[in-house]
Amino acid sequence: MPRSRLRPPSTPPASAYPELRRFLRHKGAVTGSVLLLVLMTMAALAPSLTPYDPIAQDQRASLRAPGSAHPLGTDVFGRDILSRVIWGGRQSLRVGLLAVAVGGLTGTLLGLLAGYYRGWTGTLVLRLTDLLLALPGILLALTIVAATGPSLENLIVAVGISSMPAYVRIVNGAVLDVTTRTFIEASRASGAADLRIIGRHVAPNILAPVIVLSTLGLGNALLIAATLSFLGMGAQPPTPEWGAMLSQGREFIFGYWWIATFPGVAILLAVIGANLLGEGMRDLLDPRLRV
Amino acid sequence: MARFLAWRLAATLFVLLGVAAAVFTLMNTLPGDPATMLVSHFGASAKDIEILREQLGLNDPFAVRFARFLGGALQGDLGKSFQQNRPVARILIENTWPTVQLALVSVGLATVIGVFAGVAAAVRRGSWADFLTMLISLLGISMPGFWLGLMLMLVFAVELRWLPALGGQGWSGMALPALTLALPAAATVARLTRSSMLEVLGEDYLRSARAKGLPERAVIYRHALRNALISVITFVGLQFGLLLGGSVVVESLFSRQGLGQLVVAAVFARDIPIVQGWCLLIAATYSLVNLLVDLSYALVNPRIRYDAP
Repeated sequence: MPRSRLRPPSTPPASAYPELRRFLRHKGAVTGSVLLLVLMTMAALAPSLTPYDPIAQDQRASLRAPGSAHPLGTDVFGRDILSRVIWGGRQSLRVGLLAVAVGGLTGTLLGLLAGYYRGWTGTLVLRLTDLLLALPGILLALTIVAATGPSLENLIVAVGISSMPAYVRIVNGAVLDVTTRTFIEASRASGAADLRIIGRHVAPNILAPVIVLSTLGLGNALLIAATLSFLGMGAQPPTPEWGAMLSQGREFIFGYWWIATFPGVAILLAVIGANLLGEGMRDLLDPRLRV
Repeated sequence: MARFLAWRLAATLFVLLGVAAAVFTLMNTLPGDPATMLVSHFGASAKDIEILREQLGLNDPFAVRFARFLGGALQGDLGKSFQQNRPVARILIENTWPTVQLALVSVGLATVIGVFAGVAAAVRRGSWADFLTMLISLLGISMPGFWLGLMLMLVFAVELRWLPALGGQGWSGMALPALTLALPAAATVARLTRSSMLEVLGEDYLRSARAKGLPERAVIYRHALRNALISVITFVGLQFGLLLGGSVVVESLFSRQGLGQLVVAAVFARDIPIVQGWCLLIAATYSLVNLLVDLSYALVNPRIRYDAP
């Protein structure tokens, strides 16, 4: 048995934030959130961080290999790849975060509705969710973009909707679980209105799975958004966006490796950050949840 | 069992009907006129476009068009492609085999690589080999598939020149697309195999198996892995759906014939019948694979029996 367990339980220093302390001790969660924070800060400070304009073309600097003037090289239009990667974070991270917000909010609301009111409302919501689940997430997003036309806004909605079913299912299950407890019955017997019961008793009980799902879902949203942008169904040129930047990389794969490489590294780092943070949140908040 | 199967098949049919309705509504109520898109390059006049709309049946009321689509779909007729002017069903069939081939090879690769890596990591829990496997698989699940494809292209086609970058035929053309799809899936399978192996490894029956003198390999692969496999099977099944999704980008990336490349082209051309037919085909395949996954549980674990709800 390790020595530390033999010592009398040391009284932890009185802390106002025990959750924060647990979070800070989880290596994965800390690494993940630092990664994401760094990327977001870079994206936010893009105008003052980048020496080059991300959109203006400079034919004399076309297709330069990485070097002192352009650390990550330039693309066919002579645009600095480092600058475009940093600016691209604005679009890519924004799309990812907003898509999670769209999917998480609507999914949670629908799940609450289905779980709390059951009956035909619940059946309707759950059957519609089954429809969404009939296509794999990325294909559902692709279909929605196919119908609505390629743009970043449509991409956000499409990725959001494709991530919705997971929230509906998990929240619905959690609500069903909570509402059968006696304290809800007691609350209802003492005359509490539905909204009050949902706000006071149901919401706190579904918060943990929703937080876990949305952090884990961020990585997936970033991947789907980048993929559809790569296919030309998201950001339109000349907007710098990581996925869209890579489609130029394919054209110039022979001889110009840097174009196809660095935007992908940015996506990889962001998704690793989201996955580490998400898994950390799962360990800390809801270890039983498997998504 | 038979009742369960019948019930699930009926439920699947209803879901497919719903998908048909949803996709048709989505595709036909949104702005953007396919007739205009089709001939806009040729400088067609408004009158030409009107004639084309009439020919494509786009002028009929929504309900009529939907009834026609659904009636046809039930008889296996998915309409005609706007662009190719051939039956959608035939075009889909022509493109199905290359995609299925790619998906099967990838699922096979992913399962073999993933299960072995997962078992190896679980058996050596806490060692550097375990750590390395898990690190690589974290990279694997966090990587955009198409970027992995680009990197494989850079290494094996551009630098080493072992394999063709685009449009290769036969096995050498299959290698890079299949690896691109298989590696991220293998990463998930490896993580899953590891965690379910770890749960099983502490069980008493493994101690018994060792006590009766079985070689370690038999203990691991015959007794432990078999019980750990059930959650892995679910995932391999779900991966099949993800691979169908991944095929969209991989086929476009490697210029490989298949359903994915077909639908991407159709999306840009607003060839609505192709997109609709493709959606139904994917939804049907995905639902059936999920059903097969559920049924396969009973094969791996005979204690699981299915009854109709």
